[in-house]
Amino acid sequence: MKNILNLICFLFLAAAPAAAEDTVLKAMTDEMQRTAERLRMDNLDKPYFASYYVTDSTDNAISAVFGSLQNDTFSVTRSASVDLRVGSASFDSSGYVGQDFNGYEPGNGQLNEEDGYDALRFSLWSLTDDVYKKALEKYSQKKAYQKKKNITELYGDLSPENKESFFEDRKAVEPLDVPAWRETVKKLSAVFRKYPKIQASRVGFNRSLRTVRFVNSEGTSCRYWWDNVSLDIRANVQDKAGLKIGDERNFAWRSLAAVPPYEKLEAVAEAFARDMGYLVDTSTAEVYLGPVLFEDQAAAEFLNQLFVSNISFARTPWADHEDWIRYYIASGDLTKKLNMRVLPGFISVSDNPLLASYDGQQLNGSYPIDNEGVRPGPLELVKNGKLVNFYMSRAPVKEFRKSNGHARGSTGEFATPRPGNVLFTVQPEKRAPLAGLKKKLIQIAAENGLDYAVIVRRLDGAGEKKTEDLLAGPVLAYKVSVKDGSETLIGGSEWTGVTFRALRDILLASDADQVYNYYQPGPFYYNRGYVPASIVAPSALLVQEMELKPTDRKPDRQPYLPHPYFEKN
Amino acid sequence: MKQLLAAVLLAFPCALSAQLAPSDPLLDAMKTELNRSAEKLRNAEATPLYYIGYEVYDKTSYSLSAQEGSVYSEDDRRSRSLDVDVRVGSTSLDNTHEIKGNNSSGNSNRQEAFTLPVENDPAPLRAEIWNLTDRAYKAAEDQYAKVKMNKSVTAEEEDKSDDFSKARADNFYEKASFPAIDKAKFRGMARRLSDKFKAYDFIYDSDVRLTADTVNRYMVNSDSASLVTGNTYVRFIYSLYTRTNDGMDLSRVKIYDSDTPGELPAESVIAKDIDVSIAELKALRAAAPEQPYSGPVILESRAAGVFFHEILGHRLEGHRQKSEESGQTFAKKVGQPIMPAFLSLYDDPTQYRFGGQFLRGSYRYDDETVPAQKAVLVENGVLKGFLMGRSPIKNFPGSNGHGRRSEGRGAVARMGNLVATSTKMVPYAELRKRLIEEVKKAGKPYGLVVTDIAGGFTITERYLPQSFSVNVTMGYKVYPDGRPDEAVRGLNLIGTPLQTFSRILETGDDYAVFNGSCGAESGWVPVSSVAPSLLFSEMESEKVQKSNTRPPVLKPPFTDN
Repeated sequence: MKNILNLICFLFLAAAPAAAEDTVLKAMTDEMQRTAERLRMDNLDKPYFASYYVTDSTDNAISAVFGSLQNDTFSVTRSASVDLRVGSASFDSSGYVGQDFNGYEPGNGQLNEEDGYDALRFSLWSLTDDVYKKALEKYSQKKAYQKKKNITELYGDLSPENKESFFEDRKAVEPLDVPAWRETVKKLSAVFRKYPKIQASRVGFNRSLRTVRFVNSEGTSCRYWWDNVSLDIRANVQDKAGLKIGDERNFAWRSLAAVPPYEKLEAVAEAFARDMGYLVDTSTAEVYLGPVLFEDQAAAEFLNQLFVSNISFARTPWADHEDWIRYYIASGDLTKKLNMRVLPGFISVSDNPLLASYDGQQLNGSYPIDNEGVRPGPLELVKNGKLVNFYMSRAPVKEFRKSNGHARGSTGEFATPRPGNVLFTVQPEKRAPLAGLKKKLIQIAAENGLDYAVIVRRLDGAGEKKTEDLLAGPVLAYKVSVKDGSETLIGGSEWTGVTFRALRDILLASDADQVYNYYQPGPFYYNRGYVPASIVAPSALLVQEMELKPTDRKPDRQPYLPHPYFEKN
Repeated sequence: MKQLLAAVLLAFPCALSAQLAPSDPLLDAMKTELNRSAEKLRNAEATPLYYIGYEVYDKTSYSLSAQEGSVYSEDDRRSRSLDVDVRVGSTSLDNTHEIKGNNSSGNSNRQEAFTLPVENDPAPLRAEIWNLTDRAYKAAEDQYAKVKMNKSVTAEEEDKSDDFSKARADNFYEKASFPAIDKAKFRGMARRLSDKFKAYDFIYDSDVRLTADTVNRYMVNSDSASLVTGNTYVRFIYSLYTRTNDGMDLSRVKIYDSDTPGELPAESVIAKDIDVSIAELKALRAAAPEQPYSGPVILESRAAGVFFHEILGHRLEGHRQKSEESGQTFAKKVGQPIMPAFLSLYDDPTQYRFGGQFLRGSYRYDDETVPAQKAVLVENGVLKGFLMGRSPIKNFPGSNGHGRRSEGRGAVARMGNLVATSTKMVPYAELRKRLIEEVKKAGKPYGLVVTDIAGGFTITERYLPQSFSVNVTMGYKVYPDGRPDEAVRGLNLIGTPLQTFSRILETGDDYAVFNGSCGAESGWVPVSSVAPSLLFSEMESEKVQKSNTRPPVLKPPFTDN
């Protein structure tokens, strides 16, 4: 069966019909036209804008634990988002939560995975009708809310943009050797058989082929595709104090060809397993106030969580319970600091979703056109430390009334302004080799009368972060002795008192750049859609002062019995 | 009649007789880890572990659905999941004991279940089993401490029965294999059948679906039971849906059940049924919203099956008789009449078919390792017993093989195949005549024939009235003057169980099977109900809650010319 299915989907993907014979696009266009021309209930408002965003996804998911296959599925899905607005571009039904945060999402549903014209139109019609009725109600509620709150500063709800037409035909699909990947995933998961300190582990591989189609009532129409290959290696340990620690190594590539050879993957798995093992015997955390050197993933996540996430999500919707918003929806706090210093003067930042690679490495954050059918281009974000721009969708804000092509999201959520490929540039005189950074780190610690300094090599991801925190806790943090530079792993610590000041406190950066491909979590905490993004930035950052404290989490009892595989008979 | 029923109820086919237990790596891994855990955890804490059981659900599934002429989704799945049942304390008081009073919200049958590897290498299997065992054991010790304190600070229970009963430790091995499915054939069939709904502009949604699931359950426990037992469920389902101008959602659903795809009806038969359902939906949509009615009612056999299941069956689940939260409608009524003397009721999961019809509620062993057995619930109108799992109640110390659950839940007493029998039967045509007589006698303008009921609810918690409400999804007004029947919409049948059953006058001889899935605190389990049509002298109804959403503004795209 799997083979037959493989065949079917390969046909529909490989066929890559020209726009004129694309059944899915035709169904979307025809139903959009009927909606625009005819949809009106009694004497109520007719929609002034509508859009359909449809994603086809063909997925192979293979996972294994400890050398055995756990999950091996092949699936084809087609999901649709329907946005429909009543009112006018200056004030419409969008951007209003009302009472129900969890229900703040576009109309979305699954469409037939087979290219049936009638079935596709039927589903779109049904979704559209539903969204139209909701939009009518939202519109009147939003008007009442505006009146009640006496909101007079309005900047419009939908920016005018050019009509676009963009069609990309799929290149030949790289064949996936499923049996070979099964073996690879199993073999990688068996690496953990060498590490008795690891309580549980899992290796997951996923290959997705995606085709995106978009049409709106203004005549914009587009189709493009992107492939995604990912590998996640997860492990759990419990340190000697009983704290449970879970971490993972995630890889994402744009093609199978970009996946490194098995030996490299295995080396990563081995290093990860070793690091996790070390965590078991870490020294306990203490309160620390002093310089911190962020390296590798931690350097990239430091910039992502503090900076990139906060120049995203510029506009926050209105909600009846305003004070609940922060528990449900992230808002980009740095967007309130336009034309202010947000980074040291020696750092500039730009974004360019049209870049496919940097220094020979693929950038996963690239896309040709955004979820609202707006084309992105190079965007200057920070000039010599000063914020000059932030990400924009078609939802205007006080500072900017036009999109810059960064409306992104998955089908289940409203598209919001988010990054593509973020490029950090640091003036050469503020860059130094890693050894130099470490030397400087120790020097500052010594000047402050500290016995040790701290290096953080891994942070929890943005998705793991508590909503009230700006920065997720460290997973791999090391004490560096001022005396001899020796390193000891610290267990169970978290940040305290982190503010945006930390960004301006960057003193020095490594002279080597890294490409960090990751998934940025969306702003809606109840329904997080992740989009692929990339950061190109120095692979280490020295920050003047950060504060760490032992975690508030409570430890658990150790397992009663030893792991059966490692039990000595 | 009982003899007749016995003749048409077929036991499990002989071809399925127990296989010789071969060496099964999954079973071996479970046993090895179980023995290690049982031995070493027994006295690891002051409160001893006295029972541990593993149950692995090894599932193979296929599903296919189509809408408006093309495939909507198609999936193959293979999965294994593990439940670990740990009991600490003693059979008289353990961690599963009900918490009373203010903390009763802590009573939950949810437990952690794990996904296991689908391959048979013992090391990964044992590693995962070990992980979940450790969690389950810690959770059990923690819960036991709460139970003990709660028992000390709350009033004495009425029913002081133990928490767990002993059971035989069987050894049994019989795997079911996933049936061969001609997917191309079913794909074509689903496409064509789903295309039939397209012509009707009042059908706002429709679906045609095939599902096939083979579930092999592996159970081992510290009493040395070792069981492997399998079932296959094949369902073909179609559904169609509309909405009236006054905002009422209406639907028709038909399900064909079997254990083999070859036994599903031919496409032409389903196509004809679809035509009937479309006509029914059209009639329902055209019907005026019904006013509350009280008067004579016939519940046709399949609806009667659902009725017995919802209204009576759930109230005869043993554990409810001792729960301090439960209404215990029947706890003290054993030996007393609860319905007319011509009615009897039993639940028999060992029956595999009724006539030719496959029964979904069949199984060999329940989820507490107890062999399935017939439980006599009501005999000649008199309450005889309850559906029992291994949670004993006053006067009913043992299980009768009805402890069931789905993954991630603790088992409780559940139904399997619930069968209602009657000794006061007339042919259905006669029963209809009797309805009209009752209508005339009561001076009512019409009687009600209910052919399909769904969902609704039956309240068994003590803090709410012990009433039920079930939705009439298909029913007709039958007029005494011989006018054609008229479809009714928007009614719920309501009442209280004891009073309602006392109003059954007689039954048809038209036994039919309802196959379904039943959800309760221990999850979803496949069930069947068998019953004849029932004539009630009086039943009450109330208006249903409507969605109040209006029908779509535009017609479906291909009917909009």
